[in-house]
Amino acid sequence: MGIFDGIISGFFIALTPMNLMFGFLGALIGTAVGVLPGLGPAATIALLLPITYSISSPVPAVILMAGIYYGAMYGGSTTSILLNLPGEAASVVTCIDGYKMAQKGQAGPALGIAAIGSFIAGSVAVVGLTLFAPPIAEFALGFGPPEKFSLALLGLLMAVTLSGESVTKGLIIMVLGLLFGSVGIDPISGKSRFDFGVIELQSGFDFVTLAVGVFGLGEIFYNLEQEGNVEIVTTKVGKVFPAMADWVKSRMAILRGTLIGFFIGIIPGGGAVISSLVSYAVEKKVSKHPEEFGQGAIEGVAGPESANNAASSSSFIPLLTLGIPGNASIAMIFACLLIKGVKPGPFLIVEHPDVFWGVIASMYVGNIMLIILNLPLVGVWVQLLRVPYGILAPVVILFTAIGSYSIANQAFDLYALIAFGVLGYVLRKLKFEAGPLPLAFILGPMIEGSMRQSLLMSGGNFLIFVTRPISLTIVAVFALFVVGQAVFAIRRAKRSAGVQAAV
Amino acid sequence: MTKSDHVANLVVLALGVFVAYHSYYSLKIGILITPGAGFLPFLCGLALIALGIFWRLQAILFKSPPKADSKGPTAVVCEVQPATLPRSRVKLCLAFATTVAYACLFERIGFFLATLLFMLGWQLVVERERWLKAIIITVLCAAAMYTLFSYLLRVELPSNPLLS
Repeated sequence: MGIFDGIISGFFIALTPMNLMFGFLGALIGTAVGVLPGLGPAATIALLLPITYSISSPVPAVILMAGIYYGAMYGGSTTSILLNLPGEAASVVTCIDGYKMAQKGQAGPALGIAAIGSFIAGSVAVVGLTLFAPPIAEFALGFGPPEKFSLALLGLLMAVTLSGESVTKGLIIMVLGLLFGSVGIDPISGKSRFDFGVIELQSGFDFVTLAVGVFGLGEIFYNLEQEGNVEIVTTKVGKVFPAMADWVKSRMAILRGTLIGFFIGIIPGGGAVISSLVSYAVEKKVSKHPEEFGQGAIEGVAGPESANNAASSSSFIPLLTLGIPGNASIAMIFACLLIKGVKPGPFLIVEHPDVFWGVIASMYVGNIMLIILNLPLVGVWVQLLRVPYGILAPVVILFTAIGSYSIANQAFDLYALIAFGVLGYVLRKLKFEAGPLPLAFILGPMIEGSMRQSLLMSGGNFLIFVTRPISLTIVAVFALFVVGQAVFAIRRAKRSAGVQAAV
Repeated sequence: MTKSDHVANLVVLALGVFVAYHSYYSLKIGILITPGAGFLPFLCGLALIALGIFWRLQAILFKSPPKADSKGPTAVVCEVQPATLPRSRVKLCLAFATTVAYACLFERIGFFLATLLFMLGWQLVVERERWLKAIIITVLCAAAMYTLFSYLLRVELPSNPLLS
C-alpha cells in the first residue's frame, strides 16, 4: 500500500463515528490534563490504560491515548500564560513571555497564537510523519537481533542523556527500570527472578501498576506536600484571535518552531520539553530585539508552543516504525498497543495497517478538534482550575487503585501500586527524572531477548554489535552524539568559568 | 551532596551489591554463548555499583560552592520556591495512611463501601472539611465512581461479602 492509499484508508478508519468520538474524548481529556497543573500526559495515559481493556479494537484505544498526548500539549499553554503555572513540563518556557503578555493585558493574543501555532505545527508534523514513517519502517524490516539490541539500548541511553539534568541519576533510574522489568519468570530458562517467595511476583510487575504508581500516585503525594496548589483565576482573557501585527511577528517563529520540534521529536528522549527550550533559544538568537524576550515577546510564545506540538507528533515516528518509545508518554501508548495485542515496530504497517494509518489520520482530525476546543472554549478550561485539589487528589487515587486492581483482580497490585507511588515521590524529592523508568521497563525484555539471541548467533562474541553494518552505524551515531554532548558540556563549563572569573 | 543524596547513594550501592550477588549465586549468569537468567540482572547490579561510585566521586570532585549569605539575593529566590511546611508533611502522612487503609479494605469490605470510607476519611482527616460538606462530596464521588466503573465500563470490582 502506497502512502496516498494508506492515508486515504486511514481517513476512512479515523472518520467512523466511534473513532471520531474516541479522538474527541482524547483531545478533551488531554486539554483538561494540560490545563491542570500536577497531572501530566504520561500519568493520565497511565491512569486510563486499564480502560483500554474494555475497548474492543486497538484503533480507538490508541486514538484515545494519542489524543490525550497531543491534547495536553495544546492545553499546557493555557495555565502557563494566564497563571504562570505550566500545566505540563513542555510549557515551562511559555510562562516566560506568555505570562508577561497576560500581565500587559494581552492574554487573548498569547493564547490565540499558542493555539494557532500549535495547530500549524501539529498539522505540518503529521504530514512529515505520513511521509517519513513508511520508508523508515521498510528500512527497519531487515533488522536482526544485534540491530534491535543496539537500537533499543542506544535509544534508551539517548533518552536518558537528554531527559534530565544529571546523566548519572538518569542511568541509575534506567538500570532500576531494567531490573523491575526482569522480575518474574525468565522466558528462556523458566527460572523465576526476584520473586522472594511471593507467588504474585512470578508473573512480574504490570506496566500499568508501575506507570500509574510512579507518575500518578507519586505525583499526588508530591503535590500534597507543596504549599498553595491553585490560585483563583482573575485574569481576563478577552479576544483570543491575534491581530495582523502579532501574526506577522510570529509566523517565522511558528515555522522555525515546527522544524525544530519535528526533528528533535524524532530523537529518543528529545520530545516536547527539549524542543520548546531549543526553539526559545533560537528565537531569542535570531530576533532583532532579543531584549524584548522575557518582557512579553509574542515570538517567545509562538516558537516554543509550535515546537512542542510538532515534537509530540513526530515522536510517533520511532514508535510506529522501530518500536522504540522515545519518552514516557509514548511508552504508555506502546503499552496500550501491547495490551491490545499489537506489537509496534517495522511490521506494524504490514500487519496492522488499520492501526498505523488510522492513528496517523486521526491526528489530522485531532488537530482540527483541538483548535476548536482551545480557541473559543479557553474560558471554560480556565474554570477547571477552580476544582479544589482536595477533591481532585482522592479521585485520581481512586482511578489509580481501580485501574491497577482491574488488571488481574488481585489486592497485591494495590500494594505494588502504593510502593511505586512511594518510589515516584522519593524520586521527585531527590530530583531524579522518572521518565527513563517506564522506558527501560518496557524495553528491558526486548533488550535482554535480542542480546541473548545475538550472543547465541555470534558464539558468545560481543563484537557482533559492531561488525554488522547497520548495528555499527547505530553505535557510531550514538558515539558521535555522546562526543558532541561532551564537547558542548566542556565548552559551556569553560564559558561559565570565564564569566565567573570576569565577575 | 545533600544528606538525602548521601542516603540515596548508599541505597544504590547496597542495591547494586545485593542484585549482583543474588544474580551470580542464585539465578546463575551462565556462559556468554547461552547467558543464564541472572546475566542481565548481574550486569545491572554491576552498573548500579559503578554508577553509585561515580556519583560519589562526582560529589567529591565537583563540590557545589558554599551557600550565599541569607541576606543576599539568593534569599529572595528561595522565598519564591514552594516551601515544605510541617502541616503539609502531616497531610502527606495522613493521605498515605488513608490510601494504605483503602488498599487493605478494598477486597475485604467491597469496592463501594471502601470507596465511601476512603473519600469520607480523606475529606475529614486529610482536608479537615466540615461533616456536611464531607458527606456530600463523598456520596457524589463514590456514586460517580461506581457508575463509571461498574455500569459504564463494566469493570469487575469486589462487592461486600456480607451483602452478596
